[in-house]
Amino acid sequence: MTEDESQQRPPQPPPGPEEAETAPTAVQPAPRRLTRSRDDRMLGGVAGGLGRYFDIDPVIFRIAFAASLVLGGLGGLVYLAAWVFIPEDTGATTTAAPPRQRSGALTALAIVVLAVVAGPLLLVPVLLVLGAGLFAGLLILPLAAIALVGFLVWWLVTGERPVGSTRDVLIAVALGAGLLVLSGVVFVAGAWTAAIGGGTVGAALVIAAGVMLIAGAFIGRVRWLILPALALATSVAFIAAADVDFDGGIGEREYRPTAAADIRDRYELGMGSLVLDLRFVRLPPEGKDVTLDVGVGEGVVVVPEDVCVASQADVGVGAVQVFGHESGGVDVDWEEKFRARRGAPLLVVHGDVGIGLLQVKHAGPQESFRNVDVEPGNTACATGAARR
Amino acid sequence: MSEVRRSTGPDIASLVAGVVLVCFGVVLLLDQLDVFNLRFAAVGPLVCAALGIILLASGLGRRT
Repeated sequence: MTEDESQQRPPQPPPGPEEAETAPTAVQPAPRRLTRSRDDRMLGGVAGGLGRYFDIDPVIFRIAFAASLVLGGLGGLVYLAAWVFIPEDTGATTTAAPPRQRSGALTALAIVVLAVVAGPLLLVPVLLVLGAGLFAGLLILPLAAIALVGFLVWWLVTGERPVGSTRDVLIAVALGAGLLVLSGVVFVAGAWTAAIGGGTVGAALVIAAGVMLIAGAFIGRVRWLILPALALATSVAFIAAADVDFDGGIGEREYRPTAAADIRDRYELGMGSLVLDLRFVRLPPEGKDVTLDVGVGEGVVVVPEDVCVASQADVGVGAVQVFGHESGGVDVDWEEKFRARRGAPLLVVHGDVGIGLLQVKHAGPQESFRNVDVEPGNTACATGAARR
Repeated sequence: MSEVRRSTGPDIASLVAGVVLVCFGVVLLLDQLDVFNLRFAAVGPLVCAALGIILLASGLGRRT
């Protein structure tokens, strides 16, 4: 980094010959062209030129190029292509804008990023063991993504891209990232509130946020509230669409009735794992209906081989696995209708899962059902059409 | 956001966003009242439409 950089704004370029003829009294700004900088360069002046063109400190581009070298080298190729195809400034038409004074914060940031970039190169043996992708995935990519998103959020919220000194840009990016984090917190809190208190509370919160925005529009600058409010609305809508309800509590529940009379009509769980183990109960010949209501998590029904299972389920986001059959995605509607063979009991499983998995599987009495895969079965059912 | 816009009237983007959110909240409330059943197939387009309307308002407000 050079020490003799000044803060002076560039003087307006002198009019070219044509401009001098057509408008002798007015000073027209020279058209802005993307060129490689001759004054502010580390290699080919690409970052310096980009910084001047976008009115951003070139160090940011240098950091981006350096970081991209670790992430597959695409940035290096882009840099080389820019070096080849972007002309160097001649000093005639584009005024060399002196680079901005770099703040101590930017210098510190540059040192940190360079250390982060250079660190893995010094730890090649370790990286060979752990994998460079791990490093990139765990540290650099999230940081780069947060910075980029912060930049975009600021741009979106204010309607102006962050400009000014490096400190201004960094502050704007940090504020944008902070706003994004706040929105994430609001998203989680809104989802949690809607899941605990019910969708009515969530809907009321969304309406209240809207009213606040309407009132704020007349009072002052509340545009920054739009993103958190949208996050709130989205989370509540997500919970409402998934029909998630934490009424049943949180944790792991395992029910193992030993008599048909002990089987409840309905089992509920807010979040976690709910297992209904029916291997040790003799189901009545007339059959039994049972409902599993799981907000977020899994609901597992384990049955012996001699039970025919019909099933019907609604899953917001997730999957249904009934023996060898499976369906997944969003808004999963599942139905399999069967009749039991003569003498075999029929179990009708109703599933209501917000986000997660509903499984029905066979397992022997001595087996751990956790280790049993979902396999084709349901052989106690009469052959006939099943509907899914 | 600029000082000029504040002095000339309400912030259009905030105003439109507020109205959109109130409408969104009413839809969620109707879902809770079982007037209809909100599914993901509808939530996705709804959110996108809300975002689009707010962005449009933001852009138009900036022009004015």
